[in-house]
Amino acid sequence: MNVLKDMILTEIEGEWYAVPVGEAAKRFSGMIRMNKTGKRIFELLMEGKDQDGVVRQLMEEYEVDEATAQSNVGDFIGKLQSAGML
Amino acid sequence: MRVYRIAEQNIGIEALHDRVYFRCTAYETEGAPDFVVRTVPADIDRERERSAREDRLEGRPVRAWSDEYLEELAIYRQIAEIMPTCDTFLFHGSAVAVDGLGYLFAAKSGTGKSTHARLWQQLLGDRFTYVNDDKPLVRVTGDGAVIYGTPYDGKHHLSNNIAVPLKAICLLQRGTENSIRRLSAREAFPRLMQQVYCPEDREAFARTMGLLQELTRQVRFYVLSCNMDIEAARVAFEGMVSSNS
Repeated sequence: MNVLKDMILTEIEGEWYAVPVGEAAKRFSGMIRMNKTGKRIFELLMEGKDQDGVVRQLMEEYEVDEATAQSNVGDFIGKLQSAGML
Repeated sequence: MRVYRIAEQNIGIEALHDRVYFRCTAYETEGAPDFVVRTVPADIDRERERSAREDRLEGRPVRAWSDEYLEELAIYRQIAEIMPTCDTFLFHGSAVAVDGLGYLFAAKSGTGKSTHARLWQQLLGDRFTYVNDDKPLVRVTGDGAVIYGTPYDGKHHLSNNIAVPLKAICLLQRGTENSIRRLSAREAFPRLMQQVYCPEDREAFARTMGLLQELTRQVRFYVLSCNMDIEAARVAFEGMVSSNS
């Protein structure tokens, strides 16, 4: 189940938080704290992109090589999955 | 329907129990409502279920509340759902004024925010006024934040129908010694989130987040470790008020 669409992103002094609302709020009481890159990955996942789609987009936007992007995105998605958000 | 002016809004209330109206007496107005809230019996049932769920989550016995009280909760919940469209949100904490400026104490239930507010009253005497001891409203504009008294003022019913500029928010934690330190907005934000009413409506929630973001630019944040002695109020007052005046 993907509950990312039920979350709201907000920025406080350069740090990003994803806060659950509606259905997501019934399942999670905490928030996810992210840096700017994490927030961008989160946004792309919210848009419905799959892992490869997120990797391709990051490579374009951040001039990062594929292995690094794969590793970062894989780690990030792993964390969301273990939290039950994906 | 009766109309009450709370935090700059004329709110029409249509209630099932007179106690709902009685609670709001100090806020009654002759004006036309900006919006109307009304309850039906199912709202009271929902509040009862919600309260029982929270009790179970906290691991305490399920408390039995009267229909009147639950209706008050339902009414204030509806108001809190609408208020973000008026740049205003509900904050669970004890709000006080000193020399006409507002200070807000926030903490988990049972930490002693009401007790701490009472210590400020003892310390400051006539310079002190309660704004609202439990559930004030905060309005945030580009010019600053304002904190409002509301009829929903906790078990001791300590509040006044006043509005004062909000200068600082202090997060309380129990300690054996008394000490205060300034918090960055980053440090404060996760703890503020635990005290803010999070609307169920996505749009209202997003607006609340925007208001909180703005609030972090407008007020100072502190964390106070405190015991229940008058010295705790002195340390907090020195840290939050005296050193910034």
